[in-house]
Amino acid sequence: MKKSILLFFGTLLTFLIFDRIVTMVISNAEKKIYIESSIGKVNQFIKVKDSVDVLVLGSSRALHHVDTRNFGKAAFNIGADGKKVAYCAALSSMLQKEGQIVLVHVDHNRVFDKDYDGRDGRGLLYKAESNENLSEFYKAKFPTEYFISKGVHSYPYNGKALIILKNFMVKDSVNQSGYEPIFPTEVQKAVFANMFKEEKSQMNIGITKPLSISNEFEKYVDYIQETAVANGSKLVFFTSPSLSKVDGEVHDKVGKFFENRGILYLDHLDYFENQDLTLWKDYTHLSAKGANLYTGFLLAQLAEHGVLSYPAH
Amino acid sequence: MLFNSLAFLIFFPTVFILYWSIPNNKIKTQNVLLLIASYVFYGWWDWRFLSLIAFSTVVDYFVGLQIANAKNNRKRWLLVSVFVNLGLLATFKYFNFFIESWIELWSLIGLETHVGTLNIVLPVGISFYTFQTMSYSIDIYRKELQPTKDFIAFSTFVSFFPQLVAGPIERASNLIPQLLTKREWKHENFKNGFFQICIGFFRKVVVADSIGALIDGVYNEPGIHNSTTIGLAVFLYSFQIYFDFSGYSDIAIGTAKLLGFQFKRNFNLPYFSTSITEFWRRWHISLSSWLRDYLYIPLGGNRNGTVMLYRNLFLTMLLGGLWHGSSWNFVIWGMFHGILLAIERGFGLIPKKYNLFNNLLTFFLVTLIWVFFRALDFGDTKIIFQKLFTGPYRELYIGDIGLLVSTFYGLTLALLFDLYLFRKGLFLEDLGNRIKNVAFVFAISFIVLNIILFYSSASNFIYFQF
Repeated sequence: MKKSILLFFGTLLTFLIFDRIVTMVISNAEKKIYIESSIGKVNQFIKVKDSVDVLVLGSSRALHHVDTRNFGKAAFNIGADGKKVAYCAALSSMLQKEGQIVLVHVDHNRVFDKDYDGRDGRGLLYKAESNENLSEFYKAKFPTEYFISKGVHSYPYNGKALIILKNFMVKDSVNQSGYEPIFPTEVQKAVFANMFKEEKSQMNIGITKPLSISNEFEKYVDYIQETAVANGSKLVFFTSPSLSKVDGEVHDKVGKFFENRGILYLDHLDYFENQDLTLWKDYTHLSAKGANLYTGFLLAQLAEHGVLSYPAH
Repeated sequence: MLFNSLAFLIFFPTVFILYWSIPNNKIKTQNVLLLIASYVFYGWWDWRFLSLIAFSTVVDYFVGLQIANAKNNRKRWLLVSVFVNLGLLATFKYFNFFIESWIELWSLIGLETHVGTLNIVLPVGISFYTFQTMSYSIDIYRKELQPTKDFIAFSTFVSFFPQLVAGPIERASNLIPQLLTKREWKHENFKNGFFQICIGFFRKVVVADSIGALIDGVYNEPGIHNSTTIGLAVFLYSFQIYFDFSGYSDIAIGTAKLLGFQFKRNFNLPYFSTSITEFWRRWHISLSSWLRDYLYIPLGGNRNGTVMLYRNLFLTMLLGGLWHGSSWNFVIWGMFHGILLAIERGFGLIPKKYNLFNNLLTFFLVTLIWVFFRALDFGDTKIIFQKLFTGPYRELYIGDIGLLVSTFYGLTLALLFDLYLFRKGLFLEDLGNRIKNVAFVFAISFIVLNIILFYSSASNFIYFQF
């Protein structure tokens, strides 16, 4: 048995050395990336977060729907595919600028998603070492993952290594606003037109009744609010337009949830009443044309609620 | 408990240390520990279903002794075992399927019937442990096995955690003798087991789970995807199911080795087969040999002429399909395999030597038939085949580019490894010990590092549902 124990610990030691070397290479490459993909955008976010006046947080719907170039103030859109409220909470833990406007995109079905476990929040674990507040966030919200990352340094880079190496080698232009417009291809337009013929709009997708607010969702909204209060930020949650509709009960319940917390919530799900397909890429994503129109409306709404002191363009 | 969970990463080392710390490797104490550990492992999922395993255990333990002791009623006792085990399966797995099929059958001729279905959960692994206990009673009936009087050893045989929920389906003749003899620590078992576990985890969490994340959306809504995307999903699913299930078997076999047990090989590079017949000798070997010994041969095998041979092949595969799940899609999947086996046998299409063309043709056929296995229902199956065969093949839908790159990276490594085993004629089960210590250390470090960097988020093993 001694031979086996020796071999086991030898393997463990070798693995830990490998782990340190590989992590060092990946981490050094990662810090130099400022182009597309979530990694580069996070670096860009860290670079500008304490200087911009407006930040837009959320999923791909935030990313593709809010054109931060139209804000007239320094603004950055850090929306990213597949990211939800836990990821937004992790981002918000890094904010420090006083009086900043923080817009957080939220989808109705996420509010009631009982299976939501906040897994997306682990996406910034690799940055925990370089930011004390973020490190505290992970200690409090993801203690197991934080503990593992202390022993196995490569753990936070799960699913990111190849993208980091690829982006390190491929040079591309830096996207200063963070916003990514969608210009649907002819194939995408045709596919969506076909789908739309069959089903004009969807209703209550991913929502089960009776409605019950997800505990995880609540937890992270509270965290974002606490951070905003501590920084004196103006916090706004909003829902952008979609062809995936919800009924009145859902609208009311989400509205009440934010109202009870004293958070300004703008529900723009039904903003586009007409069914002009050029405004859409699919049921839930606006085209660049739709995003441009919607951003104008969002700015006007923010001005109306006194969040921004100037009217929309 | 899932192998790919933090709970298992704590559970197994704890059991392992306690197990080998027992003074003099006392068999009885070790078996009690394994039995408790196995019930904890299963109860982690849902403790209520432990009663089913306990029930099946008690019945077959008692029936086994009765068959051996009875002079006239041996068959009657055997029927008790078959009736109880198939009864459990019929109730928990097939009841709703039969009722729904019955209603549909009558609706075809315009008659409406009202028969209630049951609101029941399918107990994980029920198909595996019922087959395992049933074969114990059948072997005793055939006088191929002596029943054990050691209830603890028998209970451990039924519930042994490495293979409890998704196999391999271990024969009593292989496992019970091992449970009754002293287990000694062997360095070669450690190397082989440790290496196989690492490969199993890589196959499962890096390759199969990444493919799953990539193609689940396509299979869930084939109607909205184009032919190119569907073609890629169909191609990749072949690898998902292979690496998912063989990965599970590798972890199970490796885990058992670390505890001093030898399981039978369950996969032997099935995608290098040059015929469907060979495929079934290499794929899920513990099930195919079970079906051969307890269904195909009792039906008559190849002893009663050509027509009966084809019938037996067809029936065996049809029921083998139904074993996988209570849906007509599984029945059709088994049926196609049965037909192809019969055709190969009838026309003498089984090559004696390896050739690439037959290998690719076999892979192509197996891949197409997997569509029945994965599609959510028959309607989706039709859509998938329609799109595959009529096109048009347009631009590929790529969801998450990072996931796609990671998936192909993992898949390439896994396929190169399989190719290496095939070309060298090696078996994974004893590869670890063939590697020199320094190379072993580097190989394990490389595999584990890749698992950490490229694992996809935890999802169930496909075969858990069976």
